[in-house]
Amino acid sequence: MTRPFGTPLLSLILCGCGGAQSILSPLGDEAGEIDALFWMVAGLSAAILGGVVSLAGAAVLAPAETRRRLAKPWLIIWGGIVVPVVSLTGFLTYGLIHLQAGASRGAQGPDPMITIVGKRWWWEVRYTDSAGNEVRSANELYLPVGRAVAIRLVSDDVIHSFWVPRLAGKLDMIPGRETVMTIRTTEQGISRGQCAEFCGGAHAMMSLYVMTLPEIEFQTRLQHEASPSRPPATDQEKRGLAIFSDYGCGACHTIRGTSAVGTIGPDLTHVGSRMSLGAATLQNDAASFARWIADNRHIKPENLMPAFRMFNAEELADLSAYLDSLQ
Amino acid sequence: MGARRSIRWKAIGTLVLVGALLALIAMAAVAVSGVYNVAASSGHWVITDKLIRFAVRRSIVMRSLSIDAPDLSNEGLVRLGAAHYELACATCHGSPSKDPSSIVHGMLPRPPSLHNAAIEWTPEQLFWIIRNGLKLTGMPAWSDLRRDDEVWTVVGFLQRLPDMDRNEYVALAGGSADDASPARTEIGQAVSGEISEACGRCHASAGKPQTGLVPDLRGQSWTYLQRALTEYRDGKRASGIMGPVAAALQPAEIDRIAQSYSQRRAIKGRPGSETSASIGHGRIIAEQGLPQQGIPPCMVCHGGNASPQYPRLHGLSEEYVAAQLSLWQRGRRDLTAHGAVMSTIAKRLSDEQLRDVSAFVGNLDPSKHAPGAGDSP
Repeated sequence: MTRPFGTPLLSLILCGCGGAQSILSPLGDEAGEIDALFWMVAGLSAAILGGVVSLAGAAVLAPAETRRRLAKPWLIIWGGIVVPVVSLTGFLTYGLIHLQAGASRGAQGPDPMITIVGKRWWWEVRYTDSAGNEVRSANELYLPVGRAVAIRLVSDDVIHSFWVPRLAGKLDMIPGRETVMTIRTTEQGISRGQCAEFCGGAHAMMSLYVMTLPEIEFQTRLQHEASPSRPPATDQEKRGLAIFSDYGCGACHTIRGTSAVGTIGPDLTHVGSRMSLGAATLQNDAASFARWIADNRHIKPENLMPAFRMFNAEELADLSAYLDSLQ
Repeated sequence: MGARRSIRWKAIGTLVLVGALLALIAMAAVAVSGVYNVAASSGHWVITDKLIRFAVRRSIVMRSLSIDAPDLSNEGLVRLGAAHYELACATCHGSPSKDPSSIVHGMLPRPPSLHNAAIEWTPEQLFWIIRNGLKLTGMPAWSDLRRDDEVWTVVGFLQRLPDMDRNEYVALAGGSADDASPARTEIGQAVSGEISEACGRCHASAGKPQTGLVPDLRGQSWTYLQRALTEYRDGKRASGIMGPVAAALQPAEIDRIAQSYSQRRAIKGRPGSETSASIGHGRIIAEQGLPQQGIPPCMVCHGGNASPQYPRLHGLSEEYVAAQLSLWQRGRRDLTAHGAVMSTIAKRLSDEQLRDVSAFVGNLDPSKHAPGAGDSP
């Protein structure tokens, strides 16, 4: 590179190739297959582009004899018909049979033990244990490493699309219909997912984190998710819980172990332990809780939770401290 | 030929310019010299008077063309209109129970008796006048332009006024504000648990309010009533009826009024107009919410066990709840933090759901309801 800005520009572009939401750093079998397919298609595309550019160059610059030979029908027949038909048929067959495109893979997998419900604009995550008990969480998914897990995808309102690029391809969540996605992760790590079907105002802020954990840690985590909420320990947390109850937060939110049993918004039983707030919109700390409660509609435009601006700084701090303590 | 025509145009142009300049100078001379007599006592020339009245009438007629009157036959509407008329309008316009104050005789124009206003004007024209007021007449606009629904109550009252005698008027208006005790002192009289006459005119001092359009305040918390009066006083909660009343109150008076109502127990309202099916649907909304529509159950916050900042629904009438929900839906009650929360939720109700939930609330029986946590000053 002789141009001075070439190198920074290239590194800027390559930055997009890593991170928690990149298809180029797969964490599971399904994403690995997509990754392989990507490199195959990218390689073939590069080869075709090289061939076309060489032929175009030859058509202009090559000696008359070569150009005369290139002008024959065989080039059209082979390059324009045979090669595309064979390669595209090959990719389609590969996609349908080997990648088991569509819902066929899910149908063969284990019974789904996780249901993800797409909502405007967050994800409800329901785990079912072996005894059939259901545990609700939100905007965060835990998966065991090395075991195929089937995830049932449904929607409560409009069409959403569940897409965690490091784990698998996109699959739509369609109202009135169940789709099943099977994921087998290969290593421990954090992935970021994003709704991939425009679903209204806050679509761009409908994200979630997925943690893949070794089997034992995964089971511990599930047990924790199933446990009731931590009772308030300090005076401030106690005041926070009183505010939560008095101001009717429980009309929309559930905190297991308290009187709050609402089902409109996310379950907050262990909200303090999550990686993010507001479906991966804010980092999870007491200050973010305070901002969210009083001003969520500026942070996440068109969000459906009303803004509770009636609290003074002290009340807001108490309430935030309590929510933050829900580990 | 061409040259002569252009000379003629030049002459006309100069004449017009000079004329306009002279007119401006003449107007300035009149204004600066003070020769025009602005005294109300001097009256208008007959021609001026006729011209002004004609222009005013044309303005009112033309500007009220696009207004459609709602149904004004509701007795409650007339009662509320009458009570407000007694407090706000009767001083200048007079009423069947008393003549206007002799002070207003000196006004120009003199505030007309409104006894036959409904014959002279259509309901839409009356609405326009009461809502917007009239320039240079002393007739003010409605004190909160977000509350067209309140303006119609006075229009409804004026429809009935031509056939109204003194006794009927006094009954409708909830008693007459006697000349001896101006409204201002009455409001302040809420001492030691007594409800003042001014509050009681609409909200009743014993029994239910005269009309369902007005909330029964008994059984509401001291905190909530104090907040409501303060919000009315500060114009954050819109009302052309409550706004002026609350603006006249000192903090200590607000405190006393809130206290006197909060110490009384709510009682069940009159049976509502809706069917039991409607009440049943409303019960589901109020007690379980409609999670699919993002509507939380009303009673979690308004059942009496939540913060005293939240009003209780027991004892409120169907009409009042429906009217307030409609205000929230139309964005007329969202300036306060609490109002903004309700506005978000109310906008998710369909018209039918709004009617159902109002019917349910209007039929709640406060006697079967344990009072909320202690809430006293």
